Amino acid sequence: MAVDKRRHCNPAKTGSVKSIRRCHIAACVFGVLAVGVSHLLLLNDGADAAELSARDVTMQLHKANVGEAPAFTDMDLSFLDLAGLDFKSADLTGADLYGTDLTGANLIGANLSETRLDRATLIRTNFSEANLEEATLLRPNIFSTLAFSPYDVARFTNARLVNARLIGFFKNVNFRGADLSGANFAPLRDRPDTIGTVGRTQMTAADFTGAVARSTNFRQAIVDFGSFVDADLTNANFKRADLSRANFTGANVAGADFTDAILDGANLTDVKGLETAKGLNIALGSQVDQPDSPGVRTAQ
Amino acid sequence: MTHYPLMSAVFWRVPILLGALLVCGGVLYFVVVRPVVAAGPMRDVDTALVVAVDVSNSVDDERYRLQLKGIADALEDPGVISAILNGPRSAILFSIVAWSDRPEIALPWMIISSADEARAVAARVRRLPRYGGEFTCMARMLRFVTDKLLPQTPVNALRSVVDVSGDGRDNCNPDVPVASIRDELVSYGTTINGLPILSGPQKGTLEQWYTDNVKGGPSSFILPANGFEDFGRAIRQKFVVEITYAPDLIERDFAQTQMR
Repeated sequence: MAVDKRRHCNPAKTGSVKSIRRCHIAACVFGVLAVGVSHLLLLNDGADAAELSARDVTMQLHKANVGEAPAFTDMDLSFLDLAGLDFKSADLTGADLYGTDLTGANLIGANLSETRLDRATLIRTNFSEANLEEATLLRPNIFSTLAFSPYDVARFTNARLVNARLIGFFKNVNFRGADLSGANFAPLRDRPDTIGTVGRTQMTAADFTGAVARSTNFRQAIVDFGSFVDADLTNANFKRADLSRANFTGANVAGADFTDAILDGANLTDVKGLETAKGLNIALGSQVDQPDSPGVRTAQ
Repeated sequence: MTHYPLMSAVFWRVPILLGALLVCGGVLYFVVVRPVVAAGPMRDVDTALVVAVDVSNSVDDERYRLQLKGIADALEDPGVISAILNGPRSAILFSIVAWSDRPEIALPWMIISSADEARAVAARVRRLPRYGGEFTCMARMLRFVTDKLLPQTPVNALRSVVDVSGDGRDNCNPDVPVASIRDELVSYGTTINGLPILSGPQKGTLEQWYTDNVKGGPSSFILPANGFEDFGRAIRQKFVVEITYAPDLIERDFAQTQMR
């Protein structure tokens, strides 16, 4: 005869107080065990955060032959000290580099697409020619001391940052010749009622010379003294950006949106596509044409 | 007598041409081929020796130079050179790490396989720039040697030795204690020897601290220097002991390393 065991724990069906008490004790024991096991699993997960140790990464890189790209695809390398390592054009697609120390690391030509570089230490890290498509770089650390030093900055020369997400302090950073199409430098949240710079991406004197920044979102970014010489800024979003004394010589701003941007002292010499740029009239305000140098339009 | 001018010309010219070819070939062999063949591919070595030099705040310019001079003099010492050349592979790998707040490679891996090479490396050591810092971050240095330096040896070594010298204990409040990283390094088959420089406020306790926290691995030892002036004597003695070929020791070390 089949016995319905569920009846033992159903007071309506058993009516036995003893049986119900046993059920309660069993449930309590099971609950405590479940909490304990999950707690242990969580603790273990925290201890073994990274899949490889820094020594493993070093050995893998060292053993790679010339022309062979070491593979770290989708690996968890978070919080590792990988400072000073030569990644030899490694494939780090989808790797988690959260909080990783990459001080002085050579990532020239590396594939870092879809990587998470949030909170990573990028002091003097070289990303030249690297592929950072759809990577995220949220608030990386780029200084070795509290005092700013231009020698500490990371380099993204000719890097591919298509659809990358960047927020933080990128003062003096070199983006020369980089492809920033669809990249996003905007803050996470709009705070139109505040005048503070907290939350805004700080890129004072950053160098975008010759960069491709089509449909790039520079909304609210602070790029004063920045260089956009010969950059392709088609359809870029500069809404509420601080572009004081930025140099746009020879840049293409067709379709770019400068609504409420600050362009005090910006150099707009030989800029192309001004006629289709949005919000420039308001942004430039009392712009003047300099008579002795034709084509130069400098905002005041 | 019939005269054959053509035959005569060939008769004389062929040997001359052959001779010229031989001379050219000889010159080519001695100038180009032989040196390349002699140099050959990078060969394996007996010992990979890392000398970790304390450059923290207590080490002023004079003390820094005394340490470098001591290392350079030791490399030129006939006893040390003899120890290098009498190993089974007659060569060692040599590197210097300057460490304080953070470690830096002052001298990258160099192969020493002759007296001339030892002298060349010594000359380079004397010319090293001044490295400096504030704190004595020994745990950080050992971590660097474990994770970055030893895994990147350009050739295979039968054994690896880390020489740690300094005039103070770790004062960087490390997340992982010095002894733990020492144990990890030892687990990879490395020997860590200590050269505590007995000078300053920790003069009386430093040797014991090095014994407890730094020394580790097969045949490891502590050899203190009585002040910076005595560093040269101590490092020379240390090099001789560390580099001298000991077959049993090497075989044991090698077996342990291969097991991992």
